[in-house]
Amino acid sequence: MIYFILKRIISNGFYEKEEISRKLVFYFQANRITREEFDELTALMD
Amino acid sequence: MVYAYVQYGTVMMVERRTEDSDDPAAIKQYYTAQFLPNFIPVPQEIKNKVRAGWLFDYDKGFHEPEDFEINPQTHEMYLPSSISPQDYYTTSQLAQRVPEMTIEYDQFILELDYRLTLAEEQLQKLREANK
Repeated sequence: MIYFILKRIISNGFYEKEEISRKLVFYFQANRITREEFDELTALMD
Repeated sequence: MVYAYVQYGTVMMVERRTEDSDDPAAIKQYYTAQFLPNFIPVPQEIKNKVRAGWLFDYDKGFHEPEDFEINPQTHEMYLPSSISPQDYYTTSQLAQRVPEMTIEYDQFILELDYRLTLAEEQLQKLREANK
């Protein structure tokens, strides 16, 4: 669920990179997103 | 007799006054002569269907446009009778806002979820510290 929301926000481009990066790390550490999802979303921001 | 006021091949309005001799509201009593040629008699069988937005030409007679068809003369959209112009306008405005609302919604949900997850973690740490 949170993966799809993060992906949509990143894809839309309406976000602050630093803030979303911090949240990606947070969700990964909290086991809310997998390593693959984390890598995919991080790559999407670049 | 029902008359349609036709301009640019489009019915602008329908007049239900009649020209019957016993009708006290004959159409010519209400409109000056210059407008009368624009009033086209509507055939009996479609008198309750014709409404503003229908099309008329002397070859085909009266015919109904497709729903949501744009009239090339007036540039107005023909709406199904079940939809009022106001409802259509409101819905269109809302539809245009959907992408913007989705972004707002996503950001709101993300922030809420983030704070809840953070709060849960802190609560967990407090519980463990109090064991």
